Amino acid sequence: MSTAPQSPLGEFEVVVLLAVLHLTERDELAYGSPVRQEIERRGGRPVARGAVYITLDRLAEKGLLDSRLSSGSAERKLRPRRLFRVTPAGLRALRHAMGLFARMQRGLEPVLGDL
Amino acid sequence: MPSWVWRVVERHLRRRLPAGAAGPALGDLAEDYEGQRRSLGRLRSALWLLREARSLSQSYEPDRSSSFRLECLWRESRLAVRSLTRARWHSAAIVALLAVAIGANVAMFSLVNAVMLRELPVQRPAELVAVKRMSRDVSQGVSFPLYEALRERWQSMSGLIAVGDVSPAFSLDAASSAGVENVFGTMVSGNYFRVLGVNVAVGRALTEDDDRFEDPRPVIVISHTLWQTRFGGAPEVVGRSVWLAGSRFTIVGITPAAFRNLGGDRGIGGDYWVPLNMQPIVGRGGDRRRNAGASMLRVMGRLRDGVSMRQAQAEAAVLTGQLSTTVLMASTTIHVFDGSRGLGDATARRYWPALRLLSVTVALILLMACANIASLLLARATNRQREVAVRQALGCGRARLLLQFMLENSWLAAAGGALGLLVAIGGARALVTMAAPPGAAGIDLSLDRNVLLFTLASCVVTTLLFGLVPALQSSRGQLESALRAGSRSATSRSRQILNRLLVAVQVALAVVLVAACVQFSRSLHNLFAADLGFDRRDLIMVSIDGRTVGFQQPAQFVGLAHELIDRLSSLPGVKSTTLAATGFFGGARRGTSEFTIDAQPATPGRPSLLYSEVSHGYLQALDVPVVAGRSFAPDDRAGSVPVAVVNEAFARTYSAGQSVIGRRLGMYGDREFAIVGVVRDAKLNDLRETTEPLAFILIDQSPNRFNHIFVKTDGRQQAAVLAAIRPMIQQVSPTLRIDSVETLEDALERTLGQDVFAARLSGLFGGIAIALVCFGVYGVISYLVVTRTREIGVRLAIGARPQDVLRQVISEALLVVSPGLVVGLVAALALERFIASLLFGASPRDPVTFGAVALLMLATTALAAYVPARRAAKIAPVIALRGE
Repeated sequence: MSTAPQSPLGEFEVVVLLAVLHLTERDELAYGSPVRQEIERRGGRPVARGAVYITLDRLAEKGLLDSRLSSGSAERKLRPRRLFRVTPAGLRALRHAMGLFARMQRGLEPVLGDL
Repeated sequence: MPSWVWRVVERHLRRRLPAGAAGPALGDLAEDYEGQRRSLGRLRSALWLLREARSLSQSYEPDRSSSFRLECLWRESRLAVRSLTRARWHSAAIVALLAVAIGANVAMFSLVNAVMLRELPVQRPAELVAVKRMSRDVSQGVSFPLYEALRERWQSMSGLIAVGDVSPAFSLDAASSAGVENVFGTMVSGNYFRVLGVNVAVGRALTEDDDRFEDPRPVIVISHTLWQTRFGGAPEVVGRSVWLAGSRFTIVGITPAAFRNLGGDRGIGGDYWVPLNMQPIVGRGGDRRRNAGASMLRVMGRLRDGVSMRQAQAEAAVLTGQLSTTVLMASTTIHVFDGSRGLGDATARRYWPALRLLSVTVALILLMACANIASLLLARATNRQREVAVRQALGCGRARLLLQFMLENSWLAAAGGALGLLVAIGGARALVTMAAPPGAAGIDLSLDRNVLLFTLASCVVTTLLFGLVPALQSSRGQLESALRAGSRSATSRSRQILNRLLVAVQVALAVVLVAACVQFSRSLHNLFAADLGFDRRDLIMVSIDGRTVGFQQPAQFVGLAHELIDRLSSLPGVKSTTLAATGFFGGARRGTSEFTIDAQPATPGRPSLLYSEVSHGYLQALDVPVVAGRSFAPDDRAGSVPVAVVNEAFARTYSAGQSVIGRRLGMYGDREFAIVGVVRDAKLNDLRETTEPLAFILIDQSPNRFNHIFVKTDGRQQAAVLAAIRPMIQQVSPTLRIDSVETLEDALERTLGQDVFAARLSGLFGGIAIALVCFGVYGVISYLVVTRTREIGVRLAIGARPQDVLRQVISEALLVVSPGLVVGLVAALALERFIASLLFGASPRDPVTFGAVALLMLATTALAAYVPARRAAKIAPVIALRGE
């Protein structure tokens, strides 16, 4: 079991970290729009754009994500892209959070059903 | 795609998002927006964009409840400046309008402030009271005996001072021929400086010891200005001497620079102060210090601690009763008035009517400018309508938009006010120069707290006046209609109505201003064209001071007179030369109440008799027509029967039913003159005066000092003659002081100072008003044409001719201004009584004036509407239909 990070992750933070992980695992570019699309696709409901961006910012600030800017294209009106990657610390935090969930639900399968 | 929506979104997000976050977020948004546009279409994708942007900006907005903190105000204020600089020309036009309007108001106020409001630069001015002798409502001077009686008895006063204007010949050395011109002094009681609490800057002040009745000291305190201009500011000037009317006075002190006179008849400046008991030397008419009828002083008192004006007035009533049998003339009373601003007469009284009127005028100009600026802002509001709608969709509250607009307006007003202050500093000086009466130059126009506060207040008031309605209008955005290009919403209609209203207001105000302007010009024209009763053309009036030549015998003056006449007549271009004891328009006057007709003393209550000793040829040179009898003849000389010629006013007043010709006029104590002729009345001092009885006596038959020489030229060489007169007189008599050499036209213009002042300024303001109307009409009609581009295009497409469109637009403009015109004319008629007293020979309800003003306004409107109307007539139907 890993040591607990300073502050526990919020639910939406976990979701965003998982979305970034999905994208990078598939070797896709992980920046604002695809992250949001990933969440919406898997979650099946719209997510506010502002919430995604501010969460990405916050996670980067905590050192759970790191980011670099890539040059923009004409389609983007020459704006840069901010590409995200989950850091080892991010991975640890994610494991901790997911582990907590797993441990907490153990024994409640009859109530919660099959997730 | 409506790229402007994207621009607004971009600007908005750049403001709201942290620096690093904005770029990538905007990039993502642009990318997604492209996709949305393909699937959703223009309008819905735009709405989508706004929703997304709003979500972003709200997430990053730290705390919405604290959005009105100071920091936020600062940020909004910076945004306001940026937005103003984006609309560079628009802002510049508004600032310029404000600068002119606020500048005119501040200039006017600083004049009013200097003349009416500023307190005397003395200790505790609030304690000072002006003491006046009132005969009914007219304030009159105080005599020496009355002053002394009041000073001894009046318990409410801690001190009572007396002043009298003097202007004896002033020279810097004993036998100076030149003298110094235009130096005016005051004789003051010995307690003057002590009671006022004024310390001199150099030397010492006058004291009670200097001002003893017997043997007063010939000492003088000079003003800072005189010290600087005549003595070069040298400190060793104390102890030096100057000569007043030929007597030596020792300079003992110099007043501080800020000290002024108490407001005398010659304006506000005082050049020097001498002891009151020097009156026999520096004053007129010999020693009049024991004469209770010689009311040459003005009195000011300082109230004792804790004594109110009311108590002082109550005591004055008691004193009036006690003194009315002795030194106070019957039917006059003593009154006290607020003296903190000086004796509050001459200058203030003379200029107040014009100042009051012009203050109202500039306030109207400011109102017009506000209406104009409001129009400009409304026009801008239309351009910003879409931006505003989008910003509201992005989550910007109306209060916040309103704040931003009012901040923009405040910046505009601040810039306009600052520039206006500069305009005012130059403007106030220019106003005084335009007026140019003697003494006005002494008006202290320096900026003070009052002026700065006034400027600030003008800025605040104007911001609210011109800004509030457009800001309220602007902050009302309507998203759907804004996004549909080219559509005109209800907002734009109400804006048009507002615009028309603003133009109507401007026209109404302009009509009032222009009507006043036309009336003043006509009045001035009437004044200059007025019949003076003599021919003033090509006439030069020389004013001299005969006292400076030092003759003992009156007959010596006759010799000098003849020599002067001979020498001046020899100048090329001179038709004739003549001289007289009295002049015109501020010249000398001579009058007596001790005269007889056929040995009967004149009935008391009759006006005193003006008289003038003149040389032969005087009446001919001035072309005064003889109404009855004859003029002076060459046979009337020193030894022959003394004769007099009188004016019509004399004949009317003293004829008692019979002709005055042949009757005997007794004057100078025991001499009698046969009246041989009656001449037409002539205006002597003021065009508005009613002519007083006047008698002309020949100087040969009654030798006396003369004060004026009249030189009639042939008109062509007037300038040369003007230049030659002074040297010529100095050749004849080096000690004769020459006060002025001027044409009668100039002298007349000088006395018409207030009229010229009012006419020129109202002309200036009328011009500004017309320019503002042009500007306003142009703006509204341009706007109207833009909003009707489609309609006009369609009409042209179905066969309307361009001149039809031209006519339609111009008549629309006339329709817009006509309610304003009507209201303006009615207002002008209602207001005419305020200016009636300032007009001469012009009926204020003159239909010609009002007709002319109405025509002028309509012509101005048509002219201003012509440019946009032509633009409308040239609209190409295809372009109009294609929309924006």
